Amino acid sequence: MKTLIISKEKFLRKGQRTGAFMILALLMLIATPTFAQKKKLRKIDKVEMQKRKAEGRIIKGNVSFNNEALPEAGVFLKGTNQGDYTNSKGNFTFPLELLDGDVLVFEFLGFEKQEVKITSATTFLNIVMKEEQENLDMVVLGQSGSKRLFKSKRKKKD
Amino acid sequence: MLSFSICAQVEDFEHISFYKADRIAKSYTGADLRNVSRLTQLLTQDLDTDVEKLRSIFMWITQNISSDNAVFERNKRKRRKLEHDSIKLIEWNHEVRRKTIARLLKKKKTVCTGYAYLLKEMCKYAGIKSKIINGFSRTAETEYDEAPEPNHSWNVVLLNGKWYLCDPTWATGIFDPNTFKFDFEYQEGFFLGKPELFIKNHYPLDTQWTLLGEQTPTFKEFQEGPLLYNAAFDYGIMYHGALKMNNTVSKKETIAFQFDQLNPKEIESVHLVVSGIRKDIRKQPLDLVIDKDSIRFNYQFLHKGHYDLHFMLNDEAIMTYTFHVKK
Repeated sequence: MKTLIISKEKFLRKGQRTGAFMILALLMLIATPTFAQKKKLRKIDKVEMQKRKAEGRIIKGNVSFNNEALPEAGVFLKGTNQGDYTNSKGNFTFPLELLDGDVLVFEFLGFEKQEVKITSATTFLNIVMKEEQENLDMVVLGQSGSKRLFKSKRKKKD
Repeated sequence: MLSFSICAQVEDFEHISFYKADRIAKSYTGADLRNVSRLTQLLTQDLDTDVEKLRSIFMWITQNISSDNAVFERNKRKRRKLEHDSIKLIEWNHEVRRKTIARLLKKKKTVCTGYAYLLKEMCKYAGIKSKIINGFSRTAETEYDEAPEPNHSWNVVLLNGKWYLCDPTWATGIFDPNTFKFDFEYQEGFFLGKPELFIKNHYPLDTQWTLLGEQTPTFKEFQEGPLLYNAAFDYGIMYHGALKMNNTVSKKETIAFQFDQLNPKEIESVHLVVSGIRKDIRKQPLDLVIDKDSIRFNYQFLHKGHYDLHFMLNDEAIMTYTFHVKK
C-alpha cells in the first residue's frame, strides 16, 4: 500500500505522461485494497432462507482423524456465518438446508482446512482431517514475563 | 536478499489510529476459538490496512489467551527425564504438540509457542505473512548452561514488504511467582517492537530474524548484557557503554550509566535499588541528567562486596546489573 501511495505522489509530481499510464496507476490504486480484502461474511436473508427450505436438504456427516472421532471441529457454509461444531462422536447435522453447489468448510486448529462441494449425489459426508505439520514442529518451553527482580545467587556464599 | 531496516517498529504506523482495531478486538472478548478462520474474519473484515488487522488479532490474543504454567512445569520435568531417550522424547514432543493445541482451543491457555502459533494461524487467515521464531529469551529466572536449549517463541510479521517483531506471549501479561497466578496486563512494547531493544532479551536461532542485519550481536554478547524488564520496552530504554550484566569495579570508582530513551514518556522519578547481602536499599543516582531522549547518571559503591543494582524509572524496574566491588 505504502509504496503505491509513494509512487502516486511521484507520479503526480512528474505530471501527466501518457493517459494509459495514468489509468493503469489509478487502477492499481483502486484495485489493491479490493484484492487484499477478503469478502465479508454474508448473512442469509429471508428470501434465501425460504428458497433453502423449499429446495434444499439437511446434510449429516462425520469428522475424524486417525480413525478417531474429532469432536468440536467447525463445519461452516463457505462465505457465511452459518455453521456448527461436531459432537463428541464427531457427528454433525448441518443446521441449514443446503443446495447443490454450496461449499462446506471443515476446520480445526492444527489441521488442514477442507472444503467440500455439495452435489446432488451428496448424502452423508465422511471427512478425514489431516494434521498440519509445518507450523508446530517444535514446542518451546517458554514462560511469561515476570515482575520478580533478578537476585544474584552468589550472595548466599558470601 | 532481504534488506532490513533498523528502525522497523510501531512508529512506522503513527498515522494510523488503532482505536477501531482495539474496539473490534474487545467486542469479541470471550469468542470461541474452535473456528479460528471465522473469528479472524470477524476481527479483521471491517479494517482496511494489514497493520490494523494485525492489531485486532494481536489484541484479541493478548486479551483472551492466558499463560499455561501447568504445562510449562510438567513439560520441563518430563523433558529432563527423557533427555537421554531420544525416541521417547520425540514421541513426547509430538504429544505435547497435540496437547498444546487441544488446551489452547478448550481452555484458551497456552505456552509461548502456542501464542506464536495462534498469531501465525490468524495472520494466515487475514492474508498477512508471518513466521514463528524460536530462540532464547532472558528474564530474571533464566539460567543458561553450556548448551542452552531454546526457551521462547515469538513472531515476525510482514507488513508493507517489511518484517516486524511481535511477542504475543510477553505482551499478554505477567506471571506472579509468589502466587503462581497469571495476570493479564497488556505490554505495548511487544507489539511491533524495536529490533534494537528486542534483541536484548530475544535471540533467534536463525539470526537473520533479529532484523538487525550486520548489527546483530553474538550470542555471547546477548548473554553478557544487562537484564531488561518489560518496562524497558514500554519506555524504550537502550543502554550504552561498556557496562555488562556482571561488572567488577573498585571502591569509590565512578561508574557512568548512559541510556537512550526511544519512546517519549514522562519521567517523574529515577532511582536505584541496590541489593547487598542483607537488604534492598533505595538509592539516588549521582549527577543525574535527563534530556529529551537520554538519561545519564553516575554511581559509586562505598564498600566492597557483591551487589545487584536495579535501575528504576517511575518505580518500575528497567534494568539490572551486578557489581563485584573490590578494595
